[in-house]
Amino acid sequence: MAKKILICDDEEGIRESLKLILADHYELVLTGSGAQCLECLKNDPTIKIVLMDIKMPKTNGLDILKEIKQKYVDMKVIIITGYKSVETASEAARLGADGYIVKPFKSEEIQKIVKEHLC
Amino acid sequence: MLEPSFLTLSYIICAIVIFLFGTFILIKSPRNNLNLIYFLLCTSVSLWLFFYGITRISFNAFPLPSMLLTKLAYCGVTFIPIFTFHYLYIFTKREKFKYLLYLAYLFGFISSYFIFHSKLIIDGTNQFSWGLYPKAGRLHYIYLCLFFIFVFLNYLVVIKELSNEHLDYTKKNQSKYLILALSILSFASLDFLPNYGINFYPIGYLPSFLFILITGLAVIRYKLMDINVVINKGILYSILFTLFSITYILIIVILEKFTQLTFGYSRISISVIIAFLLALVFMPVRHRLQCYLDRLFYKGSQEEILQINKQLRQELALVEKYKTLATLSSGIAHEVKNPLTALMTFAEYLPKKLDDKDFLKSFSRIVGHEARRINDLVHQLLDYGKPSPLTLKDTNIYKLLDDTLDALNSQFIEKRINVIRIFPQRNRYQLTIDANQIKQALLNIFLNAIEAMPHGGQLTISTFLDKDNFQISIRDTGLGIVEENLPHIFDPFFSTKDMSTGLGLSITQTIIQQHKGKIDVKSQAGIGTEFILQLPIYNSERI
Repeated sequence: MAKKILICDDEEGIRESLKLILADHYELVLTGSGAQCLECLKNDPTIKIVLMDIKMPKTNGLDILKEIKQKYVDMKVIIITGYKSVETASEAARLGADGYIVKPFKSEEIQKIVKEHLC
Repeated sequence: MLEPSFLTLSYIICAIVIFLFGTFILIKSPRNNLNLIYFLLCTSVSLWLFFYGITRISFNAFPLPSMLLTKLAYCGVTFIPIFTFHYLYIFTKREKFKYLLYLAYLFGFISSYFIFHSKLIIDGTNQFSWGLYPKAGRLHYIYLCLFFIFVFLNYLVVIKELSNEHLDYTKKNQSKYLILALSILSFASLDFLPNYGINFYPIGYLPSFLFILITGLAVIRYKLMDINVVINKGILYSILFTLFSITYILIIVILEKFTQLTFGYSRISISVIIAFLLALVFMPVRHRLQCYLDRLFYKGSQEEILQINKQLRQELALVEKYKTLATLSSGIAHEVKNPLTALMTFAEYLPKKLDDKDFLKSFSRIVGHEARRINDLVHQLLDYGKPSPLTLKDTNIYKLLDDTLDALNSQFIEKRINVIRIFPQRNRYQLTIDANQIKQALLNIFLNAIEAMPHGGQLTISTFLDKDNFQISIRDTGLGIVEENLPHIFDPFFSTKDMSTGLGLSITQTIIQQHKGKIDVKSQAGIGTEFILQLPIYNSERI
């Protein structure tokens, strides 16, 4: 059975891009907001990894990251962001993010980081 | 006889002074074309005055070379309107007069040729009671017509420049001085009258001297020709004092002579009384003159100060706008990354999935959508950069709020600021506003809020609608404003921050007031600040 990845981004373009890159090898769950993301995680314990944007309407991705790491200690969370700032990166690392990818990303980058964390 | 008359001397002295002034201007900034042409103009004026002065001596002393000198003087005269035109051409930056300028120089060289090699322009001399003067040749009137056409053109160019509404204060004053200088210089053309046998005593040196005086004043007061000349108050007063002393002594000497002639004797007591009386009169006059010179050189009128203040304020407002624009640009640069990522990924997968119908469908949808988004973002930036008067348009205020907040997203994330939007009537509400200006007003408040929350916090934007107004409340949980500063926060240049022009909120208030709206502020130090904007909803309708 293919491993399950949860993608959380409010941008359809990014969700569709990640789907293109990953759909051939993994099973994907697509969500558009932080609340939906937490809801999916609650209902689906087979999800192994979360790819998540920081900037989303209403919620800050870093808060969601914190909540996921509190509730699901083993869950791998990879942050995908447009903001290449040291503060944000170190904040994400402090909160337990397993990876940090800056937009615009390359497909190999995504495939590589997902593969690493699913082994 | 070789005795130089008063007239001869005046011409020669003026010629030397004008040439020296022109040289001074050139030396001050030799690479500036404007200064070079001004120097040439001074040279042509002084050529005319100098050779004319010399001619007066030579006409009387040695008859032979006088004709050559007259012709040299005439060449100087010919080039005065031409160099003036060239000067104004550079000063007003009017490219379309380029061909007229070539024409002017052509006129100058052809006229000079005919002056030297024919009797068409100058033909012998006229005899007057005060001396000899060159006589107009057969074609002199054509030369004169062309000469005055260029004089007239010069007026036209400066008047056109003055009627330009966008002219800044300094340039406007420079132009005013130039037109005054030109008008006075035009009087020198009365010196053409004796050419035609009219008995008019030549006084051309006087308007020429005044011309230099006025342009000199423009150089000192309004930095004409990019020269910064500071006249030391001490030097100015010394010159004034010397002139006064000379006049004073002269009057005493004359009066003494007068009493001696009238009464046959002179007494020291009378001289002392006269000197005392004169001193009484001279003191207030000297004081008045000093005040006048002070005003002329060092102080502007109330109106001028107001004008300069206004200009300064506009410039600072522009600085503030660029500051906001810089923030906006960085926000937009980040925003572009999302659509860019999608475009890059879809482009990468296109060759592999050419036969996949589902892929092609989402390709055309996503790529089109994302490209449009990039276009929208770029337009946001371009529109913001445009300086424009208030242009009211029906605008979706919620979209404007969202766009403005989104542009600052990178800052909100970086500073850990949680943005809460409470938009209860989010059903596409249209307001008649200038979207760009209101965006700037909002940006200034948001940027202030971000600066007030260096360690993160919460920014709540909520909207309300009552009978007459659309209200936007912007509340932060930042440092707050100290009570004593609260009445001043909308004052221009009021700031408690180091790197701030103190204009942001002042601009915001102006924009809201221009929209006939209101802006209020509530704040508590240590708790936070709330701005409440009220925009009238007349002219607006719900759609």
